[in-house]
Amino acid sequence: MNEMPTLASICTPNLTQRAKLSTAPVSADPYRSPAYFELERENLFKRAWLTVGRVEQLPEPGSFVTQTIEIWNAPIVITRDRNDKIQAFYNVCAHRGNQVVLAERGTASRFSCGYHSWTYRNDGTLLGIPDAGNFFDVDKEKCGLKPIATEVWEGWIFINHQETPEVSLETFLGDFGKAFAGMVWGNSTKSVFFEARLKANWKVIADAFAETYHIPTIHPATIGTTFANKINPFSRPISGEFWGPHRQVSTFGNPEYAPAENAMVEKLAYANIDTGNVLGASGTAEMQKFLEHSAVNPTRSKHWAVDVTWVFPNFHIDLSPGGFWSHRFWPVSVNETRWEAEFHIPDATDARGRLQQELYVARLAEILLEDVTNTERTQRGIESGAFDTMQLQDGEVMIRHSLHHVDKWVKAATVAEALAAD
Amino acid sequence: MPETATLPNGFSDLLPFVPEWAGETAQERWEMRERHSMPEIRAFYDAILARSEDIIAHVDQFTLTELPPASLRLFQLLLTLAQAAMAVELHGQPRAPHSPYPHKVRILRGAQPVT
Repeated sequence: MNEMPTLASICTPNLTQRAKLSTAPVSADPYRSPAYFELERENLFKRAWLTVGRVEQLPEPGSFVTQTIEIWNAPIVITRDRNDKIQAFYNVCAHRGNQVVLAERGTASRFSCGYHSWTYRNDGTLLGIPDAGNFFDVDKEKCGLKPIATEVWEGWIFINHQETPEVSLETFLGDFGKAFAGMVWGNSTKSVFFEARLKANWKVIADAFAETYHIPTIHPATIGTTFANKINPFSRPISGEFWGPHRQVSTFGNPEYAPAENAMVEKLAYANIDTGNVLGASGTAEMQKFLEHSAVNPTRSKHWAVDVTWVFPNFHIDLSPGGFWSHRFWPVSVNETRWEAEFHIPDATDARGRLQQELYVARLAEILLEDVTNTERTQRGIESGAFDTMQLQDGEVMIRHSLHHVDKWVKAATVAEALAAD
Repeated sequence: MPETATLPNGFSDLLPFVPEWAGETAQERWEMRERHSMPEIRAFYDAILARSEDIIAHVDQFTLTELPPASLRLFQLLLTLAQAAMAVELHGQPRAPHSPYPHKVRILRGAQPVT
């Protein structure tokens, strides 16, 4: 006879104290103060390393992508040059400031500005100025595309606003980077991509994906029964890890989950597989290697669902039995954010497999909609002034950890000081 | 203008669903379900679910990347069934409770192949 496990045998208690954090209520001001937001812009987002995606989005020499980093007020272009070097540049013509690359992505070895046809190589070099003889001693060497500090870690491209960053990406990632070294990022060449511009502070949205306490309430139909059960009705996390400003919680999964009686399409889509793996890829050797990595389900819990990993300041990587996904939270103003979520899945090879993925995407869309639209209501409440502090429970430890480290960066004179142990 | 909408032999009974339900992208299929009433979603769901194994068998005669137009259209009906299932099997209503409509969440890229 199977003994019913106890909650205490599954979930590590006192994560907040283990992370050496206060258990007092937290201030609401960082979510609503324009002055605080400006400090975040200058001292956090213009000093920290920020992720702009993976190297696979630049598959070959000549590949490029453009995007806007709103918090820097900067249009950027990221290129892979003929030497396979990945480099970000300001997407700004040295002549009079127009954006040189207008396409969202593509392949080109050189770019020509659409204003006066100044031409640049994809390594940033200025190649040509039409009617150059009519200018006055232009130093072409100094008129290339302005580079942005760029480094790659485990296939993730990071950029830094500082011309000479105070710390390297390796130092910034610290023990987190070491814990995740050698991770197998399966299916990373393809992704399902969600985006929304939301009227909420970036932390409100990042927080929404950082705890599972909300799941039984917000997602009763979509995933309520997959992340909670009778033993763990409020979906307490299994464990937590903290590395400097970076953090992770492992969330609880209900091992008894089965499709509801009336879920005919779910049964149809999953008729040929017997695992609960919605991405349909766990059989591969690559996926096996991923699951064996020591940072995936670090306590080797049989109740494990997802490791929610929050790379400071605005980047989540989620590791699950079916692979990984990521979120990026791009601040636009104190109460506006552009949110990106990217889920990596393999190409389907037959009709049922493709239907299964469509069902996965459809359910994701519902879950994400439930999550992110909730954030706009939350922001209105925080801005109302009804309270000055928020109560956080132990399962919400990543929110507290985030606020603590954001505040350290906002107040620190140097990055070294911001990164120093408490 | 695309060719006149047809479906493969044996599936012409599903033709009336093509204009409102054969979405070309995941975003379009999501919007299709969101804008229909529960009786409309239910009628579509029942009709496609009843033929779903036939559709899968038909589509599997081809490589997914090389579906002829009529077969692609038929497969798109099946893919929208995944959306209809959200209303019928999860919410019991066309859209998630407490979520605004319209809203700003967009699927910029769906699964592949057959976007």
